[in-house]
Amino acid sequence: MASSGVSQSGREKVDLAVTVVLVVVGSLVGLLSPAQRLVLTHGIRASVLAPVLRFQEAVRARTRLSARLAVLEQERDSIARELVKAREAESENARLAAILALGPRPGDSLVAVRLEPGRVPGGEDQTFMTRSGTADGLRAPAGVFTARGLVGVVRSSTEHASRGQYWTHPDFRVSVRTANGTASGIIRPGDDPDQPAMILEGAPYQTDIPAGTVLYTSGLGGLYPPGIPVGTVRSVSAVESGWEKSYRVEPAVRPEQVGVALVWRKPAGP
Amino acid sequence: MAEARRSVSVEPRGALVPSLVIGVYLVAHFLLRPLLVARPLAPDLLAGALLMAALHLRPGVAAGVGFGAGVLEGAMALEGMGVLGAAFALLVYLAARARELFFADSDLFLPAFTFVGVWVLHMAELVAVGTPLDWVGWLVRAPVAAALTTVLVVLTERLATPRPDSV
Repeated sequence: MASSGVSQSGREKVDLAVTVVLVVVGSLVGLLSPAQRLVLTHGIRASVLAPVLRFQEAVRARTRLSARLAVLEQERDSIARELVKAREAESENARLAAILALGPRPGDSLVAVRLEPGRVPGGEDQTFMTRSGTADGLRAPAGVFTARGLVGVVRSSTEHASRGQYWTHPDFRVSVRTANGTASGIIRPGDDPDQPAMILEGAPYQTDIPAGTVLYTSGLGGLYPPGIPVGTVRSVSAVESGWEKSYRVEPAVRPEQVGVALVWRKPAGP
Repeated sequence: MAEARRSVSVEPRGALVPSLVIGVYLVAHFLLRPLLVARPLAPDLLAGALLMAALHLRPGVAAGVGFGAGVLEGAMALEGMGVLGAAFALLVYLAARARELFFADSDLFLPAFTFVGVWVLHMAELVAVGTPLDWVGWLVRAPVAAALTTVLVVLTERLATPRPDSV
C-alpha cells in the first residue's frame, strides 16, 4: 500500500508538471507576433487539419454552387459583356494617352485567392486565411474584393500564407465616396452582431445621401483601388448636430458568400 | 482519500473505449464545425470531448488532449491559438482533479459535472477568441449548449463507456 501511495503521489506530480509545461507553452505561443502565429497556423492547417478543411470546403462549394448556379450564369454573361466594353475603352484610352503624350499607366494587378474563413463560436466571420503569400505576389496590407464589391483586407503575409479581416471585423475601416463625389466618409462595421451591416461615418452634415446610393472605395490611403462598390445607403443612423451624419449601409458582399476573391497589388510608387 | 482517488481513476485498458469516443467527438467537432458554430443553439462537441477526457483519462493526459484540441481550435478559428491551448489544458486538468472531490457514484454527478464543465469551457473559449460577451451569451446560449452537450455526453456514457467504479 505504501509503495502504491508513493506511486500515486509521483504520478500526480508528473500530471501537474505536464500541465504546467503545456500552459506555459500555450501562453508563449499566445505571445508570438501575428506573423509568427500565422506561420504556425498555416503549418497546422496544411498538415493536421488539411483533410478536415478539404471536407469543409467541398461541402461549402457544393452548397454555394447549387444555391447560386443561376446567378453565376447571369454573372458570367454580364462579365463577358463588360469585357468587350473594357477592351474598347482600353484601346481608346491608349490612343488618347498617345495623343496627349502621356506615359504608360502604372501597372497594378490582381491575385486570385481562395478565402478560408476563421469563424469563432457565437460570432460572425471576421478573419480569413489564404494559401497565397508573398511568393505569389501578395504584399500586406492589400484590399480584397470580388466583382460584386469589397470583401476585406489582407493584414499580414508570409511566403505561402496570408491572414486578413473581413469588413465585419471591428478594426476594419475604408474610405468611401458616392459615384458623383459629392459626399464621402469612412465605413466601419455596425455594432449589432445579429444584424451585420456597415455604418458610414463622417459624411458632411449639409449633404443628404439618399437611400439607395451606392458607395465606392475612394482609393485614399492606397490600400484599396478606387471605384470598388462597398455598399448601399439604407437610412440615417445618427446625426451629430451641425457637424456630421452617420448612415446605415447595406454591404455589397457578405463574407459567407465569398469563396474566391481578388487581392489588389497596387502599382509601384514613382 | 486514497480509496476515493482509486475509485475514479481508470486503468489504461479501461480507457480504450472512452479514448475512441473522445476521438470520434473531436473529429465530429472539427468536421461539423462550420455547421455547429453558425447555430446559436447547438451542442459543444469539443467541450464534450474534453469533459470525457477529464472523466476517463489521467489528469496529465487529459491536459494534453485539452492543449492539442485548443491549438487545433485556434488554428480553425484563426484566433487565440496559444491561449486556447493553455486555457483548455488548465481547465481540463482542474476538471480531472475535481472529479476526485465528488461522490462519483451519485446519479447526479455526471450530468452536473458535465453541465458545469461544458459551460465553463464554452465561456473560456469565447473569452479566449475574443467573442464579445453579452447576457444572452452567458445566460441563454452557453447554458443551452451545455444542456444539449450534457444530454449527449450522458447518453454516450451510458451506451458506450464504462462508468467509474463506485466507492
